[in-house]
Amino acid sequence: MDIKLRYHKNILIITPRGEMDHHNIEKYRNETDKSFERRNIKNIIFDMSETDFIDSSGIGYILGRYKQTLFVGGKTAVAGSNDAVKKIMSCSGLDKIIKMYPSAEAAIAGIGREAGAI
Amino acid sequence: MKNRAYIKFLSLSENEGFARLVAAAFVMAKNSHMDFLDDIKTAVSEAVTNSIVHGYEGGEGEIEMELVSDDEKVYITITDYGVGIEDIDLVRTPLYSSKPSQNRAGIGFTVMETFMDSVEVVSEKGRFTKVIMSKKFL
Repeated sequence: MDIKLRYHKNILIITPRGEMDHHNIEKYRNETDKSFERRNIKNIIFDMSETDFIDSSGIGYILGRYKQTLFVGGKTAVAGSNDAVKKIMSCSGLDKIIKMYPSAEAAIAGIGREAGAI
Repeated sequence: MKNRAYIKFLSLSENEGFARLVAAAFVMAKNSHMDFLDDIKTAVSEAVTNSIVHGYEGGEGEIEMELVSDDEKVYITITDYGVGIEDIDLVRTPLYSSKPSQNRAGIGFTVMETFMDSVEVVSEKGRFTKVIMSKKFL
């Protein structure tokens, strides 16, 4: 797995590419945490359109970032999930607290509307 | 027809991906449905991650995976010889995590139970933990 980070105003968009498991998350957590702190990020979008696999470690990682954004009064959203990602999101109940969007662009628009990201 | 395979590997996190691909490759001969393979991969990933993070607490040890299939089902057994589990009911409780500060969601067993047909845990404190799962072919 590698990870692509991009920014839109105060939104950090994380695109995990490949397999989001315990092994890979340990490698990338520091990188995303640094970006979050340094750039004054309030909101996070996980763009899952390039994610082939996710297990409960991936869910734990998303949940951890959700708590970070909650702490600064922002939002976390998940976008572009395939069926496998949706299945584990719903079995963990994460889909009840984190909003799911069809694409990262839809999530940017949604967060902008809801939280006044501008 | 009955088939059986057995592998033993070190408790390194990079072997989480290795173990789930081996399990998927094993069942593929009998059932190559994508959803079925995804479910097997996820359940194996959960059990192996538990052995690495909790069983051996990040230290070095050996993990065994046995795969058995017949015409109807696949049976997967994952064993570690780490710290063991004192209260199996407690660790199987959804959202319970012994390491909540490490971004663990506490849903590993819930995921295994959702993705497989049966999940059995046998453990002895200080000796071993064995997770036995089965799933009917689609």
